[in-house]
Amino acid sequence: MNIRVRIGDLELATPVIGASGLFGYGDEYEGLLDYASMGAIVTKTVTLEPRAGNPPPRMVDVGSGIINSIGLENIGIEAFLKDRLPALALPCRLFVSIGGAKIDEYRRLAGMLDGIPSVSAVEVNISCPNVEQGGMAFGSNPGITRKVIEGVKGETAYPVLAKVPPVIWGLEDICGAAIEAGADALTVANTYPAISLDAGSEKPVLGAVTGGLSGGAVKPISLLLVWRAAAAFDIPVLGAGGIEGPEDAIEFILAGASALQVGSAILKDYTAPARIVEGIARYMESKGYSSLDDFRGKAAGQEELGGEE
Amino acid sequence: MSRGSVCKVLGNERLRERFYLLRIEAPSVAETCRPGQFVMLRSDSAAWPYLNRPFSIYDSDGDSVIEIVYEVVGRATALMAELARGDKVCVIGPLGTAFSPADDRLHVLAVAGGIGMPPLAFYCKRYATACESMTLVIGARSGIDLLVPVGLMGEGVDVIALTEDGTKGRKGLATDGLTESLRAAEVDASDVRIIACGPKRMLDVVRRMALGAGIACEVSVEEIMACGVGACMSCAVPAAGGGYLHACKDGPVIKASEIDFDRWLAS
Repeated sequence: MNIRVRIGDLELATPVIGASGLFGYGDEYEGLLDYASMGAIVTKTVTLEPRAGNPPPRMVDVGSGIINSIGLENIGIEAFLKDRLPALALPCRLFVSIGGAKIDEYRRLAGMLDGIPSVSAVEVNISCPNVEQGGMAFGSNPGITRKVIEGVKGETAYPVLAKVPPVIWGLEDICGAAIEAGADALTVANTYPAISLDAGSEKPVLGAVTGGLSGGAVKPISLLLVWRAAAAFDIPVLGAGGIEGPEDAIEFILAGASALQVGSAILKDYTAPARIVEGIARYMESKGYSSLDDFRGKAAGQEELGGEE
Repeated sequence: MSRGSVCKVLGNERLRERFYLLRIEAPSVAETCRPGQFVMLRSDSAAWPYLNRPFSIYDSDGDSVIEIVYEVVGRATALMAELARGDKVCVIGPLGTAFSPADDRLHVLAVAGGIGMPPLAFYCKRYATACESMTLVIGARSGIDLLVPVGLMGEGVDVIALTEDGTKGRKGLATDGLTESLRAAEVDASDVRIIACGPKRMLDVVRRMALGAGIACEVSVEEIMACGVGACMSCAVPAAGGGYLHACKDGPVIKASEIDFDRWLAS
């Protein structure tokens, strides 16, 4: 049985990828997580300059998921390249997530990462606020998305993954723009804008007021976005959003996902990636599948009959 | 070495009102944990809550058993109170930093506010005989909120208990107890160390007093935590000089001088 996956020229040992933001700079879960069960880890988003992040509280547990507002806290690309990257020795691939406040910053970040042997791919976080457009997310606009991805592609020979925001209406426009610009794969999707209020203090819980919802709560919506994106486009789609166990993972593959990003679930259960890999293998055995291609997209492609109301 | 395991609950005793003592068989934690460090806990079978919860360690037998003293403050801790002998819990740890060890020249003043008591009690137990003197000041709102660990007095720890309403112990705040102890301690400031755990407003008063007296001060901080291992950057505590420290990795025990209390109190 073969659970390897291909993203362009890149081969991953398993379809389970650690989503950006939950796995630090790569090895923070050492002694807990079975890194060999992962196809890759995506680092937390790295920016050109160090970023302090948002005031606390930055995290709220809403039971079915979590809302976070970390604010892209990171040590900056230079410290990452100098202090963190050389010390990494992971038995899986490393993807680096990049983010910027201006289009040019993405381009420069991609250039600085190009050719570094321990890096296998670049994931472009286009959910960052664009300071040149009044703080609107880059990925909320197809034209800007195209420019960002074009800039990154021009600076790196590595596969480029476009991580799109959870756009309900117009997802195909954003994904299409990323693909036209040369994206090698899509990560669908990022966290969902959300808020938590405290009935006691009668105030927002998070220091930054709003944040991004992830975890089981978002799974059915992410599954829909992946199902739509995978049907519309030929490049690999990496499913992300509330994948916590093997059943979730299998559903995303049935929807057309080439690989899976596991994020918040790691906070609940650090054995989740290994459990998912084992569960997929068991499922394939029971169904008589020899590779993920045998069932990828099997539940995709039907016409939507407008059942939202 | 694995930092996580599924462990057996040996007991979950209600001490009084909202306070419980959880005993867990967790050899890898018990063997190496130091006072101030914490574990992330979740019930093995619970679908809710989403996140593990951090708890500082109250005691360890150094071999196989750790103890956690906790207060039921919300749904997660209410679920924890239902744990019974034989149940399983997922334990990650020991995590984070510890209070600096004591030495024989030191006079240690430990200041606990409410449920800040457990890591300080652990410290007192471990180092009472290793230092020149050890004082544990415990403050609480009322008698029913006051937890005084048993047996510490017998080990040479001077325990001072205070309540705001005077229903138990002396009437006053934990910081009033600290003021008295500082006045009584007629020793060189360099031979004194203050350690504290409690609400951040109390920690702010304690560190100001330490600063005024020229005494080294370490505090144990709390912020909403998610991963416990420095990966997610959730548990941010404003750092002196800008930026943030993280309670799980830089803390929970941090030198008071490294924290920007003004920004922290405003958050």
